[in-house]
Amino acid sequence: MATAKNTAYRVVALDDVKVGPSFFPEGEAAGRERLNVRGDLGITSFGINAVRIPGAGNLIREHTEIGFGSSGQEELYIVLGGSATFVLDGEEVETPAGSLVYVRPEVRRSAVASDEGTTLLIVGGTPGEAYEVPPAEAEEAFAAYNAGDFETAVEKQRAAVEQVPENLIVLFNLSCFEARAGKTDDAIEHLKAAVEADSGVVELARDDTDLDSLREDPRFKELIG
Amino acid sequence: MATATGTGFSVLTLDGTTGEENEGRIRVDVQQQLGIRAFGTNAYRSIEGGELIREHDEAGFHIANNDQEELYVVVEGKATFNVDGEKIAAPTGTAVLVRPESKRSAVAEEPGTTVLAIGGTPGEAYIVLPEEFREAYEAYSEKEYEKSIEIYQGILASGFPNEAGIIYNIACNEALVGRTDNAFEHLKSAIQADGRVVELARTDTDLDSLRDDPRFKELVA
Repeated sequence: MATAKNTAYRVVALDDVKVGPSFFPEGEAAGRERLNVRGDLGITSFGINAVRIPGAGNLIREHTEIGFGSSGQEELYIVLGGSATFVLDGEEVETPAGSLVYVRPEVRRSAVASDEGTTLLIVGGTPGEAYEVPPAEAEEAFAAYNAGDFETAVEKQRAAVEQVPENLIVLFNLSCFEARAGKTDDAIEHLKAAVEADSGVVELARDDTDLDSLREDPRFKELIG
Repeated sequence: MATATGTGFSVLTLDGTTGEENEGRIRVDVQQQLGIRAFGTNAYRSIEGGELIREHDEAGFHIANNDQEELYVVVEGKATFNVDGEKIAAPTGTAVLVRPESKRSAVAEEPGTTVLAIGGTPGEAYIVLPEEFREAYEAYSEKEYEKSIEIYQGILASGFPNEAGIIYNIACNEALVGRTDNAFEHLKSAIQADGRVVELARTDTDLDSLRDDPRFKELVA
């Protein structure tokens, strides 16, 4: 429950923060939820969200924050309640409630909850760069995509692209949603624009099943090779 | 206690075994201890309960990272925040976001109450203060003003982006050792670099030796 709101400050109980779309279907199966702390509080100078899970299970899928499509963020994980086990570049670290785990972008990390009622708060930012607030529409588009509503996903993602036209991941995802929605010409057009802006997009496109409906199209073959 | 440190990661617990004790609370400079570069982070743990975060705002002039918005997360125990005169009950798991200009303070309602503070300036990259700032401040605190000046000049020479605060601190040290002309020179260039320095100069006792000089009235009035 939000206990007080005004322009000078905002207060929330983390337990009551709105559940946002998950980016981790495996964790979702175990009841993992992602809480949109940054969006709920209106924070603009760093990224912050939380994940929680009722029992044992995957909290953070294995990943790094480097490579094409990653933000280059460093992250601080705060264990609130419960207990977690992190694996950081192969090293296992037990982190009971009250632990702070700081992870540089290049470190391969994952975490599982090892006790009941584990919540992780995740704070992120890119060193030397101002935090850029992602458009709310991108998150709404992702939620629609997860729900299988590809028409809405396309509509929301188009609005997101308008706000951050230089963000190639947002553009690439638009192409994915369009491919899913059967809008082949639009999908090819946006994929082409993304590849032309950065050939690194080719790597993303090669294995992304969202683009399967495009694969037999000669234009796709020409773009991706 | 830092429990593990790889090359790319570090771990810390807020159980009271790390940090500096001062007036019934333990302050942990999380940002510095963990080597965080992208945002500011501190933790405060109360030993017996009582004052946890002193009343302040973030709107004034700082060496770097001005006008930070700050998020306070109650990690353990129970706190009461006061923001612009309004009281906020904050049990474990409460997050309080405070805008830069708001006056805020917090009291621990239980021993062991721990609050994590995370801050950043909207639209600006976070600036990590080099270790030399602490050394310069220590020298100043120990009245080794010439040493403090030397360290600040080294920071300036290294190309630190926010010059006004450093030049101002040099002026303060110079005023304290009686190098009046140098102090005026630096005070003037600090004000030229950032007009908000005037507000600091108005009440800063470090500059008391300059106050009766007509140059001071001209610069600060």
